[in-house]
Amino acid sequence: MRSERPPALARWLLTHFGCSPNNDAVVGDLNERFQAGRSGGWYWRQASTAIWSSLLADLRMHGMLAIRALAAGWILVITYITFSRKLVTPLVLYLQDRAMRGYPSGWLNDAIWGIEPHWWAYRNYYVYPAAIGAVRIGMAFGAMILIGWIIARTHAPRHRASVLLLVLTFYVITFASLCYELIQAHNASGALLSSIGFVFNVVADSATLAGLWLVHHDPQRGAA
Amino acid sequence: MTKKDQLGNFELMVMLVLIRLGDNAYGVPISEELEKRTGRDVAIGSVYAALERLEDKGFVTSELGEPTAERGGRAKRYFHVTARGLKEVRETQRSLVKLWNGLPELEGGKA
Repeated sequence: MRSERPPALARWLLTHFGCSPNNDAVVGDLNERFQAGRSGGWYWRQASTAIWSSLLADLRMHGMLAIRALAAGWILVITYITFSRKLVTPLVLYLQDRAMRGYPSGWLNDAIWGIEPHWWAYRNYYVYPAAIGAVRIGMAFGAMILIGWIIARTHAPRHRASVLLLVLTFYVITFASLCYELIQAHNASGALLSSIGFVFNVVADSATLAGLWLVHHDPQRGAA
Repeated sequence: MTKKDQLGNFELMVMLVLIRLGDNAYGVPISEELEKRTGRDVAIGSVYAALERLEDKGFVTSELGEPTAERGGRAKRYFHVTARGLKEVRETQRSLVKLWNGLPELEGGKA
């Protein structure tokens, strides 16, 4: 049975990522034709085409701005990766080393911890590394959201096309990295690890779009 | 007339539909008329991309209409052909007729 409302996800994607200056009218037209009897599949095709064609049209008309957004975005990404490798990773390893000290000795520590040495091992070999991993993942996601936000704020009113183009290049590089790693992998477990890393990277790349969403919903700026 | 001002194939089709529709030319009737006349599905996004290029060239103008409930509260955008746009369509028509005339392969063919 056909739903009375157009597909919510397709409408949301078009509303937030359509790059046409007349995007509101495009959404309205698709809603009107859907109400007149078109299918959900038709709506999805139209919404996808509208996002893609508006992105291409915007890039054709504002090519230099798109190049500037790409350059700025990649400079920010490389800066974060360099900062992460040179400063954050050594700091994290130092903190990890401090946290994972040797099993405490002395009659008081024996009295407190001696009963449950497994708890100490569990904390040091599972809890702390998981916590540090979570912090690093959080930092990566936070950095991508911030990069998306910066590019969107500095490239208005073409912010949607700028951020979408940047994210597309992220996807291309991530996919190319996966292909390379799969070729280099010598066994199934190596391929599986590469695939897991690929999924994580795609999700992190997509986090950049959250920065665009934040600008779109900035109460001071007003909905774009 | 620069190369940028020339009408592309799809742009010409959109202009002809705008002339045909008159004052009621917004996204839905434009795309429906194109589908009816060409027998092919038309992407509304492509129609708007063409309309935006035409507006940039000065061949059409647009204005916002009233929002309606069936459109989720979103307003229609009506498009109108300008005098300059009409002149460009006539010149394109003249050029195409001259190119078409005298081609034996196309004479007497089915429409």
